[in-house]
Amino acid sequence: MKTWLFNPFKFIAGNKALLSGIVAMLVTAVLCLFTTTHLDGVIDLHRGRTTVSYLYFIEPLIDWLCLVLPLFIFGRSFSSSSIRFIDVTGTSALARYPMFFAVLVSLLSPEHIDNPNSFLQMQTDPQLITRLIIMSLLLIPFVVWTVALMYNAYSISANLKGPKAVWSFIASLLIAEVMSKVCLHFFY
Amino acid sequence: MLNKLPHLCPSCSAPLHVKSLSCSHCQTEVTGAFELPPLARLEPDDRVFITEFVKSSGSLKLMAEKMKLSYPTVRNMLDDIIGRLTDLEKPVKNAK
Repeated sequence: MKTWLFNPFKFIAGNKALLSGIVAMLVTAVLCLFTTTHLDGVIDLHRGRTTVSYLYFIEPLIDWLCLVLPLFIFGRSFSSSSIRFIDVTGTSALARYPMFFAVLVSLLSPEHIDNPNSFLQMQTDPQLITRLIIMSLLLIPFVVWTVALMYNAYSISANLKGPKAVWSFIASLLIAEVMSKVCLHFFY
Repeated sequence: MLNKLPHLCPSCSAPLHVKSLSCSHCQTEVTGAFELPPLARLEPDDRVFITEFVKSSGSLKLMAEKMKLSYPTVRNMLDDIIGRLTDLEKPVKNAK
């Protein structure tokens, strides 16, 4: 059970993982569309800003591809195994499925949180602040779960373990976060 | 139950050698100093993996299907065995 939750890539990779991951991303994007939630960064989640519909589908795509690129380059550079691009793309796509649950949890947050008026409202409404704190605390396990899955996806796909795997993964995540923010900036 | 073949000395961890071989049919015994091949010095699980890998004509895809594991997991298992085999060959090369 623990393996299936944190390392399903032991059993699923390549095309199967890619297909399952894309389906999970599509379902999450539809949920985002109806709840005005934006996945505007590799592990980012923000609610309230209404944009054109197609952006809800483009965001997870960019987040995913921005992570795949550095993971594949680092994997190729550090691993002595022959890495397949399909494994990196497939497992990284599937690793994003906890974001669906994270979006569900984020529904507890006050709406239009990016709106300056809501910040003013929050200052005078302690109930809103409490909701925001509870939501943030509830989101932590899902972020940890997603990052753990992303790391295991990388570790299995590139056959890397130990400090080399950890440091190259952290670097990839940081690069991906910056890249996704820059890429998405062109759509807003 | 088949006994696990020891390949390292339990006292000093140096590689063990075969001293004698016997025929269970005519009881003939051959004594000498025979080196265990690197494959025989691998862990039983690794030897089973290699046997299955050869039976699968060296197809990792087929191995993954048989073992109900993903392709990269099986490839990683093979790469780890290659690493262990390379390590096992080192002292043999040095001895020569």
